[in-house]
Amino acid sequence: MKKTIAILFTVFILSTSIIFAQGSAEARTKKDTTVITVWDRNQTIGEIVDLFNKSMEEEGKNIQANFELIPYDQQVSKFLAALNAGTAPDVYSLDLVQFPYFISIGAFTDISDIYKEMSFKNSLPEGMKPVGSKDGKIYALPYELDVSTILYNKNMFREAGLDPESPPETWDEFLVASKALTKDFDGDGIIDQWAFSELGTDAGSYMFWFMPWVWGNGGSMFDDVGNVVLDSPETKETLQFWYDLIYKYKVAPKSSVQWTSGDRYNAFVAGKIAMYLGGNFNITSLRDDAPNMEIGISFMPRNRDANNYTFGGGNMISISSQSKNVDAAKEFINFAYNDEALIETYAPKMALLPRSDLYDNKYYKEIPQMADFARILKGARTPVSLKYNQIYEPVLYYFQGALLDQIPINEAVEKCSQEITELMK
Amino acid sequence: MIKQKHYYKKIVITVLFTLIIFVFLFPIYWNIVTAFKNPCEILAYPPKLIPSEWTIYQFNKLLTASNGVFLQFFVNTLIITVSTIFLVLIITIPCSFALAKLPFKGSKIVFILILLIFMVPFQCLLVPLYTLLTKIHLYNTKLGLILIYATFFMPFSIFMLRNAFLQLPQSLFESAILDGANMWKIMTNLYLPLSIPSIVSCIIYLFIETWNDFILSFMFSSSNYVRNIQVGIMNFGKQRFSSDWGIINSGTLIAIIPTIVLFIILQKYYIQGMVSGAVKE
Amino acid sequence: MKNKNHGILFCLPTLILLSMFFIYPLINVLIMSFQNWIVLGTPQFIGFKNYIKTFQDKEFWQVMSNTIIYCLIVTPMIFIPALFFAVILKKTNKKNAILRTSLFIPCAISLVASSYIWNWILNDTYGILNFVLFKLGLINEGINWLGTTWSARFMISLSVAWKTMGFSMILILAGLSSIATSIYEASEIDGSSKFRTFFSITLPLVKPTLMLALVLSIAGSFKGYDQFVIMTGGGPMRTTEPIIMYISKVAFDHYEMGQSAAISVIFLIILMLISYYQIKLGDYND
Repeated sequence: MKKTIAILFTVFILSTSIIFAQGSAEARTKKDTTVITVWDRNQTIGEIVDLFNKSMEEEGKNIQANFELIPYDQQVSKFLAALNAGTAPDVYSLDLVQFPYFISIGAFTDISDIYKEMSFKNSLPEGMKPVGSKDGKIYALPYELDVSTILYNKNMFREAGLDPESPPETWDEFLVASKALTKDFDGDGIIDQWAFSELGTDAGSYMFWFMPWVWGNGGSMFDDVGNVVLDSPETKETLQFWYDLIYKYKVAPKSSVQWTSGDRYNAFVAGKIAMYLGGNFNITSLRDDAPNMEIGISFMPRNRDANNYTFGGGNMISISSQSKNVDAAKEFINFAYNDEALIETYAPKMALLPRSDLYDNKYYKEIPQMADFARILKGARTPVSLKYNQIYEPVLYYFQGALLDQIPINEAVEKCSQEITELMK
Repeated sequence: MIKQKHYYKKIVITVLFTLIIFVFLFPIYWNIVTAFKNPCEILAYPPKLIPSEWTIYQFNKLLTASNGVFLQFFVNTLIITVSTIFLVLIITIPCSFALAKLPFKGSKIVFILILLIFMVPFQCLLVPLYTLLTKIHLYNTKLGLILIYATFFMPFSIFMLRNAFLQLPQSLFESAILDGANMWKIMTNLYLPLSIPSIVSCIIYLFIETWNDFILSFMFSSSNYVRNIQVGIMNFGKQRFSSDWGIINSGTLIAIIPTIVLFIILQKYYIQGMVSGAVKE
Repeated sequence: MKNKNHGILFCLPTLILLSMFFIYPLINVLIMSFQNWIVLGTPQFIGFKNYIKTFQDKEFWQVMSNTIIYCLIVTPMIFIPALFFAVILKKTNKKNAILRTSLFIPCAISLVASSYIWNWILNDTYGILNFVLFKLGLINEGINWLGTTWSARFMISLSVAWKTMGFSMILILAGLSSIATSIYEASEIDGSSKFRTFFSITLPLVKPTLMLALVLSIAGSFKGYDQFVIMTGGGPMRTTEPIIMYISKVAFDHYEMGQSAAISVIFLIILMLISYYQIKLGDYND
């Protein structure tokens, strides 16, 4: 017994010393090196960080970047904690919907000067720029793009007698296609293949995938001056259409209103759904998870409006106001927009590059869908609001409630609009 | 005849138990099977109970991601977990003994404070703790994490051990004092050996909690030399709109093995029957 | 005299750790709860406004009731099997060792991973549970396990109980092992049935351990978070949203750290009261 204690004690001493030793493992950088921290939820920027470090070494500059991966769900919590402690990261590639609030509290540095110098500034998505700016100054630039689209299974289209190269563009066409795509193969009364899946469990999904349908119907959440105009016949009509898809035409399962994005993705890969609300970010994983599926991409269908819309989402890159190395951070950002950097890191992963002047690259040529995404990007809209997250909630509560047949549609839209108006005060 | 009946009864019970165990452990079975599947099979419908090809593709993907940093995460977690267990045991054994046997003026308050730790959801303490760690230069260090884990997981240990010490008869204590032993000796030579089951339960609890923690490790670390295994799994496996099931499952499988091994080794210690004549008096 | 000093000395390291990493941040939270806390800049004191706002928010009451209901469902789900298995598997033999290990294995998995796996199993369209039930001919239509309020509450509780039961079993086993085998032998000689032995001898002696395990389990269920976020996101329509999710939402989605602190303080007080009375009830008379 005593021997065991002695051994364990030695182990303890050893491990304590390892702890102290390793703690300084990272500090072995040269004395005058400026170290900047880069945060992002996307692993790919890590590769840009490596390229940057190499380039800095080659140029003889004493700048080093460290990458830290921040999962989507923890983006805000860790940032708030860091701001409170005064140690916010130098460079932060953050979800764009967070910017209006954080810019308003002074969390970011003005980067209008590097924007002015950018030769490619006109090939950055225009719809997203307002989100990162305030009073004419630019605090964040679009960097990683996510657009909402419909992904559909071309094989299923063929089997249903539909043309896989011309997906539905209007609500009427969508309904016709849905009816053909909903199948009960073995006649047992249970539907084996649904045309469509609705969504739920997180409010962001409604903004990302439902609002474009409202826009395509001529509706909107805010008007040009910021009034809440959600309560409109156009919104009610859209919600009614989605409701009917479940209860009247029975082309989407009721349970899908409770599904997470992961569940919808799983159902699509499992071949349970023909048309799926997804985006460009699904392409690489779909290649691995469903190698035999031919995937088509289409806009959200429109109704009253003349255009189809999509939600322009993603991350914007910025420099926090607590950064002590603003010049080094600016150097990093310039590097991150470099042709080579973007093409060698993001393009092979089929990520949508922020610079449309680079779309004609060798990687995109292999995947025809990228041209579709580029086209869709042109119809991208990004609403701006200081209280994004708070607005999400009534939308989730009331719209989900309506789709679950628990709140009448008119009431849902009216109450939701009222609550949002209250929140904006 | 009776022997045969007994024999049949045994077989039926064994078969029944095996069935129950299989149903009970089905999610684990699913975890194992998914970890060895090709990506295209993971989400196949109808679900495939047995992979058509057992492959280590997922493990490979996980272990080679970002230049093999997952191994570093594993080592980090091991070091941090073992150190936490040591630290907690070293500080809570005397403390529980004091709370049980050596009442002093503020002992009730101390007990309530420790109880309080257990009642607080650490989500609300994240921001103040982050600032605190930054101020004392322990942010992003193994030591910082160990201290935080120790603080939040020690209440369990204190409750368990205090409980165990209180259950031993007072006569034991009194006769030891009469024999002239001092408090420290009484604690180490008398009470500890009699509380092995509880200590082992503490070890298991501490191991599980520290090994499986995600949020504390994520919030209070940024470098690969400090981050732990769960953070690694989630970082590689979970994207905003979808998850890489292969990685999540293979990572989880790697993660549960040490815990199970620990349990198997320690099993015999808390099934100790009872004891020496010391108690019979 | 000597005893008194020993007591405090023994507790000293614990107290140091406690004050640094617990009391100090907790006081911060307490102060925050009385402030209109903003991220950058100086916060102002606003008295009890955050508390009043919380009590007036109907979502607060809803999440409180959700949490209490969840606690009431999950606690017996964990304890009754834990007690049952602890009692029948307490002897040391190979079969019991294998069974105990099998029951323990789910504890080794992280709650997050377990919730993902269960979410997958329970999905009504591609999940394996419905698939198996179809094949066995037991149902005609997919059951939406996580889609309706009570079903979701039940299934989430089941997944958590599945994962936690093994550990509670171990705690009870540890408590049982301190009961002298001599006592069992004595009762066997007396000829009492297994049932009677259980109720009149085992149960009273293991009561302290049981109470302890109960306190820990109840506190744990009040702090439930990950399983709800992953499996239902608090839905349908906030009926499965636990209080911790509400606290996180207010802090990190609404950016209202002050109010979040106030809710945490209220939560803390409630949980303290519950646990304190539990412990008082379960305290031993040697």
